[in-house]
This record gives sequence, structure tokens and C-alpha cells, in this order.
Amino acid sequence: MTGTTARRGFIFTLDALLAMGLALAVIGLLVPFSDTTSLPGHDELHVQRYTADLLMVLQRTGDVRRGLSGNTSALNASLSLTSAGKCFSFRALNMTTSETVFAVNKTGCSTVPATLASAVSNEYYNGQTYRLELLGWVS
Amino acid sequence: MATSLSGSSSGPRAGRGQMWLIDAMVSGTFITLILFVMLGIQGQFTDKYVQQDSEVSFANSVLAASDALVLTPGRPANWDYVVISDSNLESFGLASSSNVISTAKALRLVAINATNYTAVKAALGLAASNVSIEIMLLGNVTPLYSFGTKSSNTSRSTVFERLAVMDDNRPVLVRLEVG
Repeated sequence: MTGTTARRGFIFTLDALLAMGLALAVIGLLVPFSDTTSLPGHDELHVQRYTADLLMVLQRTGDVRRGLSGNTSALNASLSLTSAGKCFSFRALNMTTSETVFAVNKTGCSTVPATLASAVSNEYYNGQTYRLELLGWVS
Repeated sequence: MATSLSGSSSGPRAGRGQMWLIDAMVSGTFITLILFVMLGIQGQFTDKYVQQDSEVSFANSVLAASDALVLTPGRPANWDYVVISDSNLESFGLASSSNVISTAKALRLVAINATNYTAVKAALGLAASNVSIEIMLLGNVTPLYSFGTKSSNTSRSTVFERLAVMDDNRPVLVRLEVG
């Protein structure tokens, strides 16, 4: 009776080992494929480039300089013309004091998510250098 | 008695052997089933991975082409003033400088639509796909300049929109559709 119990226990141990081995094999097979979601998607690539382009355009059209002089309506209008589904938040900082001179958000884009694209540049205006930051994300 | 003893001793042995055989068959079936399920899951993951990898790779090609369009002048840089062929157009771009579209190049792009569509596609690294390039004023839907053909199957097209200014500082949207 004791011998039978011991043998049964032995068989169960083997079963458990086999099951554990199979479970580990399945996990081992699946782990290499689990990082596929971390590949950058089309939307992320797109918004990164679009954000960098937009900052360049805002500088070249003079919208940033107008904003620094106190008139942010042109910058607001340009942001509103960007593709639907994309959000942007612009900020100009005084390089000397690090204070925000002005900030503009695209209408309807108040909540800034954790994952986003960013572009930075400098603008020299009226004897002062300003740091420009533009954040972009897909709404 | 001897027969009875012999019978009683062979009975449990035969029963034990049968039990082991059933046990082995059941576990063998289960292991085979698990292996098939594992292979199936692996196959699904591999297919998904390969598909995703190929989609990302294609999106990267379109992204590189859109970079070339709005950030570079192309090679030769004066392609808008020379006769283009499949052999002399090494890369294609519309910019006079980063994010500034040359009006002369945009006009030439429209002019070569009928004659050099294949050469432009190849220079953009998109020889195997349908390519459409449209330049429109920001906020406008009517293209100022357009080139190429759109894919009939729009659900399989990849679109990249880039922003730039024309050389007179008008902001424009450069829309590259590849399918």
C-alpha cells in the first residue's frame, strides 16, 4: 500500500514535470513574438515628421515672430488648418529666463497624452533668443 | 488450484498492462494535441509578425520617399532643367532647401507626369507601387500641382502628409499616396 502510494506520487511528479516543461516551451515560443507591438506604427512615424515640418513652417511663414510680438492669431489659424485627428501644442520660452512667453494649443486639443512627438527650434527676435517647442499627437 | 492461482496472478498483471497502455495512449494523444495547438499558435504569431514587419517596412519606404520629396532637391539637383531618363535620375526631390518647395520643380513635376512617371517612382524607391503626389495650399483640398496615379484599392494605400512652404512662403501640404 505504501509502495503503491509512493509510485503514484512518482507518476504525478513526472506528470507535473512534463506539464511544466511543456508550459515553459510554450512561453519560450511566444516570448520572442511579444515585442511586435513595440514597433513604431504608421501614425507615430507620421506625427513625428508632421510635427517637425509644422514647426519649420510656422517659423518660415512668420507666424512665430508675429506671436512673439503679441499677435498669436496667425499661429492659431495655422494650427487649425492642420490635418484633422492631429493635435498640437506650441510654446515659446525666453532662453535667458526660461519663462514661457506664450503658448497656443490647437482648438479641441487640451489633453496632452503621455506618448507624443516633439520638435524644438530657436528663433532670434528683437535681440532675444527664444526656444520654440511643438508637441504633436494623434487625438 | 494451480490454474486458479495462475489465473489470479495473470489477471492483475494483464489489467495493469492495459491501464499503462491506456495511460500512454491518453497522454500521447494529449501531447500530440498540445504540440498541434502550439504549432498553430506559433504559426499565427509568425504570420502576424511577418505581416506587421512588412507593413512597417513599407511605411518606412513611403516615409523615406516623403522625406526625399520635401527635404531634398533630388539628384541631379537641377533635374527640372535637364532631360530625365530612367538612368540619370538617381533620387527625386522637390525642395530648394528643407521644407521649401521649388515652384520650378513643382511645375516640372506636372509636366513630366505623362513621360517620366516610372523614372520618378523608381527614384523615390517605390517602383513596384502606384504613386500619387499632390501639393495643395494648407487648408485647401484642390491640388495646386498633382502627379501620378492613385491606387484603385484605397484601403491598401499608405498616405503620408508633409508640410512645407512654397518658395514664396505660402504654406502647403504635400500628400504622397502609395498603394
